[in-house]
Amino acid sequence: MDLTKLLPVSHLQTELMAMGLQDGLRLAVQPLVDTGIVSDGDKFVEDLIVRESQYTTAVGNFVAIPHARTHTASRLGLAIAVFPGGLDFPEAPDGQPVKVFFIIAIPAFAPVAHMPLLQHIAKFVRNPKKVEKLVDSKSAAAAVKYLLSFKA
Amino acid sequence: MPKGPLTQLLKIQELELVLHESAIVHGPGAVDDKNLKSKITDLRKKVPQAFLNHYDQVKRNGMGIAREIGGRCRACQVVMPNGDLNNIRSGRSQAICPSCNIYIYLESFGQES
Repeated sequence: MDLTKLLPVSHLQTELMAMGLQDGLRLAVQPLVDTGIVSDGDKFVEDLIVRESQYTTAVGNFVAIPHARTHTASRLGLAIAVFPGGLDFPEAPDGQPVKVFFIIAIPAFAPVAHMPLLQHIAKFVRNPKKVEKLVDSKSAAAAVKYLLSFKA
Repeated sequence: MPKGPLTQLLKIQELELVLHESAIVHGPGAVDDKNLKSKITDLRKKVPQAFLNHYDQVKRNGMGIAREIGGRCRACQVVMPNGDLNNIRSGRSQAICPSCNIYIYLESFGQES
């Protein structure tokens, strides 16, 4: 899957710090708000937390893929946030804090549009070495380039 | 808001999507889905069988129900004729999108309230 249009360099943030999960999600979704894909960041974070309460999106190995259908999204959006210190994540399968967030904004009018994207990211994060390499990238541009080079 | 069959179908569809997403994210067989499945079963008990039959049939193509916003079906994006909208609102015809044939939840008219 080609992520070029979904993942501009500005959608990948590294070296973030947050006080808790909600605060972290608010920071993580900010690029989607800045580019106009999400009109209301706080509402989108609420939607993400409601979705999280239904079934966790933490996959272990310090990674989570929070996603939610939301009326605040005008189109499908992807943002990546790296918290080197990690954030406590409820019901993470391995109980470890989450360091890498792949955030997906799903427009409510297209509730299944994200399935191929979700599949692509899930395949990527199942390989711990790839995630490690992504986190160790020297810059956001290098990280995006590495992620774009992944072919599922 | 009263919990009519279409409201329940929206919830069922959301939970079914969560199930599908979880299988993708965690891998097939790695999802402890008993809780979600029991919620879906409980919700389905509240919906008349005729609604479920149509929902299950059309869901095979992707979605079984969608919201209407601004006169437009948000599944197929086709603007629904005013006559059809009025017929649905007044109960003269079933709440089904004439274009894509899935259930339509008329948000703008406060359906079922």
